[in-house]
Amino acid sequence: MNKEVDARGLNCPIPVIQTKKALESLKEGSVRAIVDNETAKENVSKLAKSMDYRYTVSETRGDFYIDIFKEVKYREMKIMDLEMDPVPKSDLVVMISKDYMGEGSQELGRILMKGYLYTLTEVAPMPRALIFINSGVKLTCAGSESLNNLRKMEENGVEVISCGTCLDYFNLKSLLMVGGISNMYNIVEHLNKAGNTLQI
Amino acid sequence: MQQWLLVFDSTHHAMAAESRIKGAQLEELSFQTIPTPRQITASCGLSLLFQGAVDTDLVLQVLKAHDIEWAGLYQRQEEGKAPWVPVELTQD
Repeated sequence: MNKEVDARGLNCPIPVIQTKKALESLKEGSVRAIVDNETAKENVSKLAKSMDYRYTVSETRGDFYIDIFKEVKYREMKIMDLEMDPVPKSDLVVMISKDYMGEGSQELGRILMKGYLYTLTEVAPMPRALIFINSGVKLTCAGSESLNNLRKMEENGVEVISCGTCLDYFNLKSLLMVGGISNMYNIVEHLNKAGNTLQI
Repeated sequence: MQQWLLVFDSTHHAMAAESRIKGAQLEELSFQTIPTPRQITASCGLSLLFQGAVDTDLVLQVLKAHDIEWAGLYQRQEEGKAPWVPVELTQD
């Protein structure tokens, strides 16, 4: 059974919610989501990824077609992939809510934050995901001195997520240099699913 | 790749060093401020980590020019593996 979700002209997070509902209503088969902007394309793709479904993205005349395949077989393959992952990851999700660490001195706090992100790359296991909100999103954007360390973590399978609303607020959306853009629904899901969370 | 580590006795010296070295805009110099690796105990906790071919004399000149003291310079070969080895510096 296949379904189609035409979410053109709809704002975030509605395309994601509609696609998710369509997927949940299917036992097996595919859902085609049609969206008309980059952010919705990214978010719907991320939804598929987070649910462990194979998906393809194509673009026709400015519209994005995301085909998501709900198959039992793929989930089994994915579990094998995870077992072969060279860097074990903890069930920790870290939410970074500002661009400095601790209170007292922001100058010192910025140094500590850089040091924290560097040290995360050096100590195993790495967290499962890093979520950047509020001024924390400055760390994932151009001008941040932590980009290389964040890229290193992303290469090792750590999910690096920046809050879209926050990027927008600081006018940084076009300057994001590492990881993906996400919305509050995705962030809440990550935090709810995590075995352990840490807010910095 | 070769790595160099400059360690300090004081957080203020480490932070001043970071900003002065950045300000000097030395060509092709790649470095970041990191928490001092556990192996090195003689430090305030902050170090500057330099990657690749680094003219350490030039870096130390910048510090001297601004009267910034440092506690030691270390070097190691492969990233993440070899232990840090102190570098003997000739005093002027």
